[in-house]
Amino acid sequence: MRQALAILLAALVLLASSDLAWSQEEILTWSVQPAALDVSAGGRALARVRIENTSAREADDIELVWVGPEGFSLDPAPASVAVLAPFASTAVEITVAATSSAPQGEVRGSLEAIYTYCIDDLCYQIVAPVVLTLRVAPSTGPTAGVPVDVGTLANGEIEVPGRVPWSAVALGAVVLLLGVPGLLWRRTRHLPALVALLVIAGGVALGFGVSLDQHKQAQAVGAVLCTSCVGIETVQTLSPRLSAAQAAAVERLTTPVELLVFYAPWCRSCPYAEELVALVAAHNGLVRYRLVNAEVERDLAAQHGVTRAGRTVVPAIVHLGTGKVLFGAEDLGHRLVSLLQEAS
Amino acid sequence: MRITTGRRAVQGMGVVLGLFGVTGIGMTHILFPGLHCYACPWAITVCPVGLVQNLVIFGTVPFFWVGAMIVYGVVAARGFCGWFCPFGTLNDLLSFRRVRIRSSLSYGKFVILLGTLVGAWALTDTVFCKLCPAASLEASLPYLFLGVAKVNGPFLIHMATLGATLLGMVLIARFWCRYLCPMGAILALFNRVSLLHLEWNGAECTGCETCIDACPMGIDPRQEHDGHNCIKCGACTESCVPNSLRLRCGLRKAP
Repeated sequence: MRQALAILLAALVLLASSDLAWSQEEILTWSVQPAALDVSAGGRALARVRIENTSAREADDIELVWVGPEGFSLDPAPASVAVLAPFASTAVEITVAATSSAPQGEVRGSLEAIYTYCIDDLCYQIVAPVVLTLRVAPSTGPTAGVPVDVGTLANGEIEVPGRVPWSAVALGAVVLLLGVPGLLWRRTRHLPALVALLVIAGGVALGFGVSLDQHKQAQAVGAVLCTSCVGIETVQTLSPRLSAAQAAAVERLTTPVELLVFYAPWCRSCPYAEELVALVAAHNGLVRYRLVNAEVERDLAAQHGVTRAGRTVVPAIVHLGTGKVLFGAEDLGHRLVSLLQEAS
Repeated sequence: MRITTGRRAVQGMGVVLGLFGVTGIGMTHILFPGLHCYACPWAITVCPVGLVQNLVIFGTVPFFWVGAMIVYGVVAARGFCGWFCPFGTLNDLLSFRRVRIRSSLSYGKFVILLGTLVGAWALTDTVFCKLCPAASLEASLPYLFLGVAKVNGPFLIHMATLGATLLGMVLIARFWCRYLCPMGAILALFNRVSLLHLEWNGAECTGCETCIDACPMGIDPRQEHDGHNCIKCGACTESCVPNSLRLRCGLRKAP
């Protein structure tokens, strides 16, 4: 038993001290509701910015600031979000105020989201653009109506509904069911205390893990299949290259091509697929693409057949014209160029 | 009802839970109390061994994982190997040769567990998953037929580990569970305190040793029923004529 506990302790110390040398990257995704915000000159309108942490890192001090154009501001300034736990989401209300001289018609507003995240002692400050479409009407006197139901969400508050999954509730019930007999039944001198201690420790660990959204992290890891992670193919770590013949084939394309590149933030071969598509697009302006986080946009993944038996598979490249899907990163350059040639 | 009949029913439930994704239910938050690959197209639960490697890579302190493992450990510990794990069930079905266990080799599963964690930390990769025979069977092969996997180097490595493990299972009952399973190693940490446990009454024992012959793990259940190799399957209790070995659920009697 001592050996077993020593192994467990060593494993926990190892886990607690482990880290990954991540490069600086955006870990939050943003969406603004409504997609187009109606506001009259001299008036105000409310919108809701939904923020989702797609990483296992904690995001800190999240602030939204107005960048432009002139004639608009965030008034009052939205409250900052002090902490957004890994894989958690939240929403922030913003009030866009338009001056009487604000440009009218459809205006593209720009905000900047500023936040930090740390890997041990190394912290990064990220400045990410957030775009907002404004439909500015002439002044109508009183403030224009509020076009979005912001519900009861307070600035920066974690959304409570749906945070506690039924599986964790079930496990908590098991812990309780075991804990009560464990505390009361004293047929042996030390064992009941040990069992009770374990049950309490397990319950606390489970509860704390759920409060950190680690159950969602577990689900996210399981829900998306990374082809290089379970040994379906080898990890592609080198930057992709096109041969002269492949580059020439891409340059000869004469019809527009639209591609969707599905990835997961933790997938180790996905950067290869992303870079490859960017490389192809750089060779021919008719090739356009969009990166899609498969963890966030699961419906889109299902809609485009990036799933197999219900599991989203990454990396995956969808050719929107033909609907064909390329999975994985192995030999992807050859497969992608062949697909583009067939489709043109 | 004989224990074996009940155990087969529970093992069947383990397989059903493992493949419940055929109903269209997506991935849940539940960690599977056994070795079952979350990459299996029909899995709805997360493999604890696969997950903990990812958590090591992410640098996450795995509170949820530890909590779940403690719960499973307190409930049945390695009883999940004997009663629920689908890969354990496969081991069970291929248990033709019930030879005695090599005790020193049985620590191999702890070495594999540590190697799995260290490998994930040092190589920032889910190394064990790429060798795991359960992943070979439950992910590599299905995805080959679903058009995602190809016959390439990683696939052949998977098939090699699967083939070797199957051969080991045929030659030695519960070969994987005895010597190599990291999930079994995690659950084994709780084997002395789990509510599901074996009791042996020495006063009633006639010393016939039929329990040793019956044990698929090749241990002496009279002496080692609290050790890390007992999977609490109850085979020994069925073979015990004087009924000195019993499978119990609850806190243990005072020694």
